[in-house]
Amino acid sequence: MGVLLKYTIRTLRKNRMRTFVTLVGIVLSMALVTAVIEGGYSGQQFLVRGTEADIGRFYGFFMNLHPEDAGKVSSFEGVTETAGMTEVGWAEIGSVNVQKPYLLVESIDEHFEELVAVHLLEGRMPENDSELVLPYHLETNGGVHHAVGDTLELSVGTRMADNSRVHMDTPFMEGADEITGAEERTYTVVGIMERFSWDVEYKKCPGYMALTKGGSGDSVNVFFRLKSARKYQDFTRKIWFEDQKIQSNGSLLAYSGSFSDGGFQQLLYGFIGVLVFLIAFGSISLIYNSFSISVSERTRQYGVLKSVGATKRQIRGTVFMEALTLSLIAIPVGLFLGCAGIGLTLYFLRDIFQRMFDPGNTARMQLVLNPAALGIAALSGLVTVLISAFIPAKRAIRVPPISAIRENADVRIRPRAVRTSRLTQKLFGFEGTMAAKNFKRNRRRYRSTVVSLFLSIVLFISASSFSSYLTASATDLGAVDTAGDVMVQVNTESYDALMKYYDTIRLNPMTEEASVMLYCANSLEVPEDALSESFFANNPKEELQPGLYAQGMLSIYAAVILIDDRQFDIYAKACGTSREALTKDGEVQAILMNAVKYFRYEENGRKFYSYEFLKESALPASVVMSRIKEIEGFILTEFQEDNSAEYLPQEYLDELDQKGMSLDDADPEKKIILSERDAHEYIPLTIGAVTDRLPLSPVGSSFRLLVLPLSEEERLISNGEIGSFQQVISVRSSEHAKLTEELTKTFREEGVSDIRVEDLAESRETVRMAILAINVFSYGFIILISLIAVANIFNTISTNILLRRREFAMLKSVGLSERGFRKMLNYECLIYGFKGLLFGLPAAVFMTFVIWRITTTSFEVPFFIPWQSVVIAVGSVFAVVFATMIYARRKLSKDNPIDALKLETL
Amino acid sequence: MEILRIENLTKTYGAGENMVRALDNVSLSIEKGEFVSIIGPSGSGKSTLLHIIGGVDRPTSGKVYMNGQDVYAQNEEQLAIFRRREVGLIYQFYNLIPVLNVVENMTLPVLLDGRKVNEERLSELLTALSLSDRKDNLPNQLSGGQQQRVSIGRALMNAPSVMLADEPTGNLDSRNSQEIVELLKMSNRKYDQTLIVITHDENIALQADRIIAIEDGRITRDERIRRAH
Repeated sequence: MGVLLKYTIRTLRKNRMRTFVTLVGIVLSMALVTAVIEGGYSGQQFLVRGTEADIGRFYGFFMNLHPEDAGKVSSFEGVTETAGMTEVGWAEIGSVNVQKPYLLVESIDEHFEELVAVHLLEGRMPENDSELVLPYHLETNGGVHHAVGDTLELSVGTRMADNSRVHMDTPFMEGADEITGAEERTYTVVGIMERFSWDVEYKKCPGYMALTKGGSGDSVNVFFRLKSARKYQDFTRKIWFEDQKIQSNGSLLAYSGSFSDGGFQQLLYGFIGVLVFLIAFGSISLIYNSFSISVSERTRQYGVLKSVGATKRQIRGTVFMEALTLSLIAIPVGLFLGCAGIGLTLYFLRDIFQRMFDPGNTARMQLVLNPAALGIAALSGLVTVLISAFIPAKRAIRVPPISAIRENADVRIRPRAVRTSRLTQKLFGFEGTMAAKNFKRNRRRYRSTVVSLFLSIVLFISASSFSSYLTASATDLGAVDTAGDVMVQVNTESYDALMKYYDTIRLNPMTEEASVMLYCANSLEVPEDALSESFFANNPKEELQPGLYAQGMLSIYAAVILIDDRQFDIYAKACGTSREALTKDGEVQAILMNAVKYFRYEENGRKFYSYEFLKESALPASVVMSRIKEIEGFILTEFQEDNSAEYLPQEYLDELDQKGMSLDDADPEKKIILSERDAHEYIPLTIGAVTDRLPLSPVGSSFRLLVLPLSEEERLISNGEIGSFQQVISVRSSEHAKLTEELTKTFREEGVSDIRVEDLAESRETVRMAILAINVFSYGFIILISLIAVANIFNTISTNILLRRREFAMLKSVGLSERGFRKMLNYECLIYGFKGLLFGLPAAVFMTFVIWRITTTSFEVPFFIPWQSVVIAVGSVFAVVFATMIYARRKLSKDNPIDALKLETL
Repeated sequence: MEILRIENLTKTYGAGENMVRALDNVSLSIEKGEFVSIIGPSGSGKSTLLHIIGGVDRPTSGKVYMNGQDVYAQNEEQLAIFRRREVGLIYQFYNLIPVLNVVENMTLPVLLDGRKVNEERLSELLTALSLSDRKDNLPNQLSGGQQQRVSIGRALMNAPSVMLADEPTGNLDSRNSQEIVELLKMSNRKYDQTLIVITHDENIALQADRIIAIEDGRITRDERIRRAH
């Protein structure tokens, strides 16, 4: 084989450009496949690590086993680790949550922390059966506050419902649930932990799970981990115990590949599938094309080899060696570049991933190499190259040697086949006719070019759609466009309490600016003639309700917010007015945020709308806020068909409740019925100024918004009761993360549970980062796949032209001018481009549709075509085709016609 | 001794109205060591005949026996081995492999056969072909005459029993042409090889032992030239 190997290597070296392009093609494809596979694997490992740290390493646990049975689990086939949690008993804890009245004391064994994640917020783990770690939600959800060091006296007993023993998997059974055989026990609180995940502490578990150690009981939950997550389902299908109940660690199993947990997983696999399909398609076509060209170019040489006695096997051998030589160089390089590329990308984006998927800060995104996957990638690359090489080789070998030598195998032309239209002749002259004939003559060659153009168009547009849909999904996940870095949501009944919290926040040194806001959305009755035309254009008049208060008014849903006075002054100034200017008759007039902007999903994408609410000329405008009237001592129970309201006395309702009667049994005599108009109270307001600026508040610009200073609260709030308002404190702070943490801690320590601190800047950042990450990935992908596509086109067109060297020389020798020659090639370019687009664009639209369907399994996104990419694709197709032509023409015009004519082998 | 027998050989191209008979029921027999020249106008079918004898084209019907062996009863693999061992083909357009040097091109049939190159024979041929100082050159660094000498060397390397040459001098000037013919005659005599040459050149044709004329796919004349060696 020595001479054939030499032959192969020299041929590769001689056709340097094509060998290089082929090598680049293999390297790129390998790198892409490797990056996708290893990236996916690393991501999966990241999620596994995150889940293990968050929930625990167990795959599942047997519930409520008898202590004797509990010991058996570790000997079951496939089980590698076990940990136990023994039910010590249940105790009334005085929680405000009626569904969760108990504390559930569980005793953990020494292996527990290895399998189940315990997140201590304060203190330490229990060391004996008189120490207890309480969950934090006992306080936030149950309203029971205990600090580390407190001593707890509990009556711990067995929980019974309807006279049978029940455990944590049975929800609270009202009226039937009781604790029996209670014993008094004293515990010392040694720690506070975060609540367990729902996999461990079942959502409807009626007790707050607290941990002790070394306690005893007659019901044990046994956590286990198996050798392989994939064996989990088989394991749980077996009957190990009578009435066995197994709870699984669903997320960990899903990430470990045991079973899918629906939506997200499906989306991820769907996208990875599309990616691999695109890459495979692109690279196979590139590699196949370059071999196809390389082989057909050498058909004649194969003929010569055969005529001097080379067997089919020997010729196949040379192709095999060519493929192997290229693979040996390109595959390792591709694997390395793929790993390095995805490794670096993950390294630079690691914080983003952390933010997106693992706010608990427990796992780090990093490249995890999977040797098996690398092996599979390399093998599939090799197989692709070999198959791409063998198919054209087989075709070439079949040609009898003498036909191959004469190079007349392909040429079987009938006059009709090369007939061209008169129009071509008229439009493009003789050169155009020649170009068109060339096409028709050599269908196979021209087809390979059109196919690669077609693929490039499909690949590019699909990849762009892929990226746009992914971005659209991510944007959909969190559209946050509000002011403020930290948002504190308060849920208190009393105005004074709110002000107390406000002071705490305002006085924190990290707070740069804070504003308190009370917010309610109600009907606003507005005189019809004050509304702007653009308002009606967006809100057809027929769809609006007439007002109740007076004739000529329309009832429109709007929000009124009260912001603290200092903020109001700042806001008023920013809007070009002042509180003084707005004060009339001792009342401050409202400022209206008049530029309403919102988006709606429509057929061709997300579309933004905007309009002005009121005509500026209608100022000052008198409007009326209307809301349901509250009657002291009565409760609104029902609206009747004509919208009139029924009220019942509070005392009577309590009475009904005690007797276990429903509203239907109520005595009609006790009811007060008010007409719709009378059931509302009307608060007249005046709008003194309009603006297009948002105040510092978490309310977005999609609302019609009236802004008033907090000092006007009495007009809206009676008796300081603010239960019907949303209460928000917005904070601007550059140290938002630290401030959020500190405020959360402060309020927790003070035992305040009706407050939630949220780092808005963080969530905004997260969304921005997610989009950035998606863009980095998809643009990286698009660039690489486009490179493959360009290499493909370059390869086919340039060789197709160079192969016709002799023919061009002949044309030149009979007097085809340089200009005519150029014209002919340009016309060929046009045919290539149009043919490619003709087939490529519909296929690309189809791929976009497929991608859209995959996206809609998880997100509501309307179908749209990325027009920008389509334009780029069309432009680039012609650019690449013409650039390649120019390259090939330059090479050709160096030819001396006679030398080229004499060329015997290419 | 008969080395080659052809029986009722027919080769057609195309079908129906467009059918062309390149060879029409040709039969002939050639003795070992004979020098045969085939003459005839363009398109008469002489090249087709030569290619079918050489195992590089397939007959439509009829048989070719080489050393008593039915050539086209062999499978592809055997046919390839037949080509590399039994015949040497020389073309008008040399048909060398452009990336292989002179020695590699010449020894190609031996190397394809997986045998060791007979260095003695190689240097003998190189000397005889005046290519000794051109050993490492690639085909495009050689003149037409030199390239044709390489292709003759390739055909002779395996000492095949039959040499087939399709207008070996068609592309060469008269001085080069005579040299090539002398070489072919030399090997014909020296190695007792059978030599079949297609030519348009009357001078060459007349140097043969036997002249076969072909017209429209049929043998129209087959005469032996008697001359004293």
